[in-house]
Amino acid sequence: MNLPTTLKSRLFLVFGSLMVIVMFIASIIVFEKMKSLILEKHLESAQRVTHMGTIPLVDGLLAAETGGTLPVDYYERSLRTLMKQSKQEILYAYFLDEKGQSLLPQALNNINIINPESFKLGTSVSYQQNGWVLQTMYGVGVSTKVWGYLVLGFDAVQIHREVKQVLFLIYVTSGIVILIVLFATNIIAETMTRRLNQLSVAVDRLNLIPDSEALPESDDEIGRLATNFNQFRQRLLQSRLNIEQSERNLFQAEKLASIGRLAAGVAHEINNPLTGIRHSINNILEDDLSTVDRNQYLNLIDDALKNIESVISKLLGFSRLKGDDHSDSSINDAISTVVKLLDFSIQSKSVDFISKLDLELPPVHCNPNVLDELAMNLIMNAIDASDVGGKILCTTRFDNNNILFCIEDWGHGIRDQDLPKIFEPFFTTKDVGRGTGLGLYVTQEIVRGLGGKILLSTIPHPGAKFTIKLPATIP
Amino acid sequence: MIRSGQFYLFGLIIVIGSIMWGSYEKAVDISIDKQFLLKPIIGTEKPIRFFGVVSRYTPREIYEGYQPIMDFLTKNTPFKFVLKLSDTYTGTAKQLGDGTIAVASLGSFVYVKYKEQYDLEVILKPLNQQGNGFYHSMFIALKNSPISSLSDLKNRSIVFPSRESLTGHWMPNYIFSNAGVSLVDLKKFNYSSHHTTVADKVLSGEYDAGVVKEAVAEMYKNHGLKIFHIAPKRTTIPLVVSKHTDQKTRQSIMDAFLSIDVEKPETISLLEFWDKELSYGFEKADDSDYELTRVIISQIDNNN
Repeated sequence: MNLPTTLKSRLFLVFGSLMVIVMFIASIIVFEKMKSLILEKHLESAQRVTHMGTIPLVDGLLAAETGGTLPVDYYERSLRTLMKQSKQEILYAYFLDEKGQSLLPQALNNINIINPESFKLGTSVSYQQNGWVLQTMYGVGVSTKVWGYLVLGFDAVQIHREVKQVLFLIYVTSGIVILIVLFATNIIAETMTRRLNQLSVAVDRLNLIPDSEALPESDDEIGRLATNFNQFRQRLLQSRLNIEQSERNLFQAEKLASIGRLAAGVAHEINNPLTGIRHSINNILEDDLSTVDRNQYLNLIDDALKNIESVISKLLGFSRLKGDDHSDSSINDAISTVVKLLDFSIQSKSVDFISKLDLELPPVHCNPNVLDELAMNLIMNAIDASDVGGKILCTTRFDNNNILFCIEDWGHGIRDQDLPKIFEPFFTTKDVGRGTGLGLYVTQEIVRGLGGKILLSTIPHPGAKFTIKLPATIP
Repeated sequence: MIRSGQFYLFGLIIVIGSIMWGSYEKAVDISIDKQFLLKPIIGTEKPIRFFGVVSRYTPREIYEGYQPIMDFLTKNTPFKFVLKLSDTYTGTAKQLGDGTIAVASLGSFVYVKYKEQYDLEVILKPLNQQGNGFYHSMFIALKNSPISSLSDLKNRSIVFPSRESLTGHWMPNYIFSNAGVSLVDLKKFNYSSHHTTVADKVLSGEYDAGVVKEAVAEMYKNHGLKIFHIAPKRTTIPLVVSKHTDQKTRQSIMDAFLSIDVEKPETISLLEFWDKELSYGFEKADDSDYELTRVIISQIDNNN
């Protein structure tokens, strides 16, 4: 059996239980009070009647004492008159001394038979053979002079009925009050917790879309909580925008750093055609050059310039900010572009760069710029890690709705102690000026932003293998 | 989760409901058993002495005013004192004379009248509020009555207490002597058995005026009656024994009454319930205190 865990159920249980217990105790107190009031009322009334009954008895006794003559059945008649006139039904009447013996003459003592064994002097309410009986007792006397006691037995069935009715009424009232309070408690708990639930759902579905709907606010505690939540969400949104801006700046910085590192290769790409241009111009300047040869040199110059233009175009293409527009982009195109830019570096190290690209690869829906960045960082790292004459294997393939992009090198690998830190920003094992330490960090952020994963494997051979898994855009 | 809360609550209601249902019969049990505390009857082990009181009040009033005095005497003497009433003043004197009662509070007139016949002896007389052994007979009428003097009584109705009381015996003659109004000048006159019934008859309008002893007049003053004339003072009512009363009884009664200190707080609360005429203490009395009364009675008898 589970204990209630929700606020609503706890509120309901606690208030409900408290109410039930309070009502139970209140019912007992009220009933006992009512019962005692009912008994008191009837007792008072009965005692008043009994007192009244003593008056003719005292008068008779006083008359007898001063020599007056009384009818033979004076006392009996007095008591019978009393029994007849009383609104409460009198079941029996005794005129007794303090030992319970009748003070009436034997001949008159026929109102009722007294059983001294069971008869108790005093005021009482008890259940007897004929039902409930209220018995009262009053001294027959004047001042401190007491001649005897008048004992009257009243029918108390009505008192018992009244008490039962009161108890029934209290039971019913308590039940109704409990039901009403439980119903009200449920409504209050529902009202209170509905808004908390709204807040809970909002927190659970927290998104940082700027124009998403804010929680309704009000002046009470929950309303203030909603206000605070909305403000918190706004601050979070602003922070995320700031972080995104910072990341963009970081990515651009890393890209510019990559361009710097490409400078040597670019210079080589430009320098070769320039040498050819200079050589062609020198030959053209010679006078004895035939028109055919001149045209051939001019064509060479034109080709060289086109090569330079192509290299610069690629460099500019890589370095240019292409905005935040998303489109279906090809990881293969990104790899080709980067390989061309890094061709000099690959050649200068005599690295055997093997590409196994899946030409049927579906596109990735993203900013094409980030795929260039991704490929650049991983291939450049592989080249840097490779020794002269090393080997790099670059593959792409489609597997289970994911695009897999692997760069595997047979270089010096990653030291075990560096493994936990390689994705941290500004961590680098390269010489000063040769790395910013942002390459793998930026790569990881790009992959995460695309909803993908990056895996690193350092076995089974020396070197490292980075595998990028990106969700494909299926047309 | 609300269901688990409801489950607990439902369980609680069932438990409490069961308790209430189980205790239903006990709850509606209205049994009470208050033992009647019988007032202890004091002095049951002591020898009984009867105390007589002339019928100056109704029997009930005599019990109300004198039973506390009996309790006092029983407590402060070696005897249990019991009231013995009579329907007449003379009856009490006779009881004293034949030894039925040991002591009696007689009226002055009865004492003077039967002193010799029954060999009576006055031993004490009560004091008034001022500490003197005198009282007055007072003429009363309704507060709004035009009667303001004895002369206004002509053609009016008047009621007197018992002819066996000094007031009842003396006042008709007193009115004639002081206002020249004789009984024949009155519209109506009558005698009532007790002083209090005289006051009641005036209060009810049955009679225009009445004469009662001082204690009764004072008692009814706040109940719609006014005092329009006060007769001269006379010695307060005598406490009388007879030749049948033994010395020990006589002495113990005297000792008990004379020991009353009306200044003591506990005594004040005790005397509160006594007949007002006897609630300011006592002093010794002898026959000479009633000489003037004897002269008045003699004069009246001679006139008649």
